[in-house]
Amino acid sequence: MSKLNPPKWIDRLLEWILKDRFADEILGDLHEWYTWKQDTLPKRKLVAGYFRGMTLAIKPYKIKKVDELFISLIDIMMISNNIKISIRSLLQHRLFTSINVLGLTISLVSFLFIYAYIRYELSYDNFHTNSDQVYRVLKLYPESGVLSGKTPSPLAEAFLTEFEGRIEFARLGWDPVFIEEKGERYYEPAFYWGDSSLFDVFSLPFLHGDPEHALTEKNTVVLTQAVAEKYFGKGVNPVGQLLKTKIYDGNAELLMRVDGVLKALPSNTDLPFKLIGSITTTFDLYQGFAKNWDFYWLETYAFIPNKNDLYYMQERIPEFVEWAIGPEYVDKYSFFFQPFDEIHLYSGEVEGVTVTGNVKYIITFSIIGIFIIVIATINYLNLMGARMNKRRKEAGMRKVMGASRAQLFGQYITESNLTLLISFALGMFLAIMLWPVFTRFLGKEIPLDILFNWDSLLFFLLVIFLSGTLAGLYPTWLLTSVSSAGAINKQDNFLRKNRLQKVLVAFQFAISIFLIVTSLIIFRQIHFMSEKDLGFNKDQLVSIKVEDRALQEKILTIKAEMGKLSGVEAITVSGEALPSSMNNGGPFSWDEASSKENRFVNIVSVDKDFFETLEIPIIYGTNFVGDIPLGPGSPLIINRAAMNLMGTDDPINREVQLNKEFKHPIIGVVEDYHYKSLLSKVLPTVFTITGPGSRVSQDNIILRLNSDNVYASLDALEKIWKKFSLNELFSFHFVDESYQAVYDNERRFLKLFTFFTSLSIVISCLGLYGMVLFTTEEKSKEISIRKALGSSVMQIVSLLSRRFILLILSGFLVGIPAAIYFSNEWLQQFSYRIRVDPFTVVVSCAVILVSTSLILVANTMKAALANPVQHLRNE
Amino acid sequence: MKGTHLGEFEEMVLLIVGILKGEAYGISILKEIEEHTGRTVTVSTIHTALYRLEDKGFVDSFVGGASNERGGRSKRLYKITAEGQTALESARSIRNRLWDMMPDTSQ
Repeated sequence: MSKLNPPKWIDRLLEWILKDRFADEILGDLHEWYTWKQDTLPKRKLVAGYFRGMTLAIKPYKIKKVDELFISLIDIMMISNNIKISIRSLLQHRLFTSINVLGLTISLVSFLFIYAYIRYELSYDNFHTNSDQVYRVLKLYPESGVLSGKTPSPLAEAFLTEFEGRIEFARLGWDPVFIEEKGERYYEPAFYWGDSSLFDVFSLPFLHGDPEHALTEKNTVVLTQAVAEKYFGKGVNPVGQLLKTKIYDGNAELLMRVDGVLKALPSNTDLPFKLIGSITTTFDLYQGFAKNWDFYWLETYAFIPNKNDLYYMQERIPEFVEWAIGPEYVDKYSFFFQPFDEIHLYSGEVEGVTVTGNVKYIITFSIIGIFIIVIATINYLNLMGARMNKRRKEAGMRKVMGASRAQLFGQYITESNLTLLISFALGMFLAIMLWPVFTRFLGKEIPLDILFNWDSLLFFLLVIFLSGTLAGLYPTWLLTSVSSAGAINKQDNFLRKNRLQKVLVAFQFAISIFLIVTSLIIFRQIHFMSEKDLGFNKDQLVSIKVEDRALQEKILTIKAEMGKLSGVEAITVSGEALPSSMNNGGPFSWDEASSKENRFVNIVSVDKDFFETLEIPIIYGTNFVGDIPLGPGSPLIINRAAMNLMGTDDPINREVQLNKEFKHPIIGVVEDYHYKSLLSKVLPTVFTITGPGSRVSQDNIILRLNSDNVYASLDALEKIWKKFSLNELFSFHFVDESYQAVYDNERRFLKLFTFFTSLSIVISCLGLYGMVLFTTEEKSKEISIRKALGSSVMQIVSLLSRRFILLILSGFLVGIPAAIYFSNEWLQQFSYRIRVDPFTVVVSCAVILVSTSLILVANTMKAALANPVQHLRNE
Repeated sequence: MKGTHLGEFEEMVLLIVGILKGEAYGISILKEIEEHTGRTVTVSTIHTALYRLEDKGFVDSFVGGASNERGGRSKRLYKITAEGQTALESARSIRNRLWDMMPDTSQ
């Protein structure tokens, strides 16, 4: 009688869930039934009947209590036994365990950091309850596709009229002020004008005051908690008090009534304000703005509750532009609603806004995080594999004693999960200890509880369990693929056949070479940007900001006074600081055709000493002669980019029109210089001389000190400054330092990238070290015999190393092309960039080959130098 | 008496337990039923009936020997108790009395 066995899983399930009183009887009877019917029923019906028997047997009164279920699960999987054996095995192989735990701990710390960083970046402004219905209005130039975050004053009201009932607005307009309190003046750079609707659109809880009525009147202000404490002291309710505020651009002094105090905002917000003044105040201050569609200064946030309204409005924008601004603007002027939750990460292309996040960084670091986990898991697998020859006896014995494949698997996953859990606990501990270092490194205040919440912990456990289980599968597969007899038999060296291990090592080094090449390229690009000739001489250059309108009127006198100092080599005034994002621009045309095209240029007001002071070469024509202020027929100088825009190489004396007002002759062309940074292209720029009292007016003094005694010169400059203004702050910066600060974001990215790259290389090398160590140990007899037969130490070292070097080289074959591809993609974002050159790649390969060779030689030398007797005598 | 009522199927199982004299367990009962009545029942039905009878105190159970065809699991054997005997007899006498009252339809 052929014996068929009923499905095992049914037996296990029933054994697990049924009370002992029933399990034996029911299963025994079911089995007997199965054997009895075997000859009369076809197999399909037999199994179906068995299954039906199971379903009918499960009745509430037969099932164990929950705690019993749990305990019996542990019993069935032999978890407690497995844990005991695992601990023994981990302790027995101490070196192996420490290499493993060390590598895993390092990678888990990096993983935790990367996780915290990404989660923090994704959490920006998610505390607003309406955030999925709020949009930032961007101005879109349809011709160039350029987006700008700054919008003109009349926009919101025009939208409200045209799309009534579908949309609400809240606006913010930046305008730094000075606040005078108890005789002291404080500069407040985070002062914004805003609508009272801000408190409806965003979730901004009030500490004091009433959000319903805040900012509804002129000359009122809402403070954040920190600012309120600064001026009125802790625990004081300042609502109703007055703040003496000096507004520079408006040249006005106002008494602003405090309407409310906001609770401190979380650190993960892009909302920039610390003080909000009621926007109605500006209607008096800047009367020209209200109807001006060409002046962009407001950040406009729209609250659109209904998605259909959004689509409707987005579609009707051309008609809206035609109605609100004029038919001739339809092709040149458009608006776009950017979803609020995309602001933090997807604003890289938006001009005129501060960008603090970048989705590319998120993607990059996610990939690195995965890489690091993969490298660590491969380490684990390889070390496992390398040690298998030793363990296969144990496994063979277990098999002989009747352990099933599943039980062996249970043993190995317990071991790998246990190792991972130990490493995770260590990693968590290290992460907490290193947290302050990490957050300072990032320059972001990430709260530690981003790691300690249920979904994070659950996610970590899931990652650990998954990688632990995968890592446990591998040794099971290795060991169960040989027969028990084969496992115990000494001669059968099944490691040789293990191809997967080779592939894994190669893959690990593919990742390593990829990371090294990429981080070198990033380093070189940033170095290139910070060292490249900017087109002017930035050494010893100082830029002094003149904020006060009244003081701006005396700027030329101040300049003349300062120019007399012996420490000052050259001095000039400019409407733009250095570096500058070029805040002023206007339409520019040079013939019939171009006047229709609405070409924009940067407009900078300078004086005749500007190009000489900055050492910018004049390539065609001449410099300004004297100070002829902007007006009909006043001369202009343009840069090379503007000349290229005009499509000529002889622009001297050509008549051009600026701001659609006057005609001007071009008297000179200067070389392009990088006024902002190498992150952006040099755009067409026009230089004029503009008197005080306008937006374009000169409000910076730029001077070059000679290197003798910089501090004495700065003191002397401050003295002159004080002569003209007692109240104003003497605020200056060194131009070269500010240019370096422009790349802070890139530098931070580089620092992080290099950090994680080095970690991953350390982990890879650790893995390699372990592998070489164990394989050399395995081969100690072979080495001894070879030595005894006359091999030299060098021959043995090369014999042992060759295999690994070949693996590393094949890893390069995959890693290098990937790195070149990724680097080129990354470099695309820069207007001025380096090329991926062979030198970088060669250096990276050398770094890896040298470090791995050291490991290889050190290990194999030890084996090769050992006295053969040591390994042969116990045979 | 509530709780001691014998259902038709229960009565049959109880009878077979009595007939099998200490050799009664799930499968042996199943085989008897199939042989004598031609009905096909599932193992689970028999078990349910046995558990009810045990609850009512009509059968006793004890652990018996294991066999290979049971996958090494021991049997649970059932034997009829005195109460079970009484219940069977009273069911029989009720039925007999009722039969006696039945008018003769063959005439």
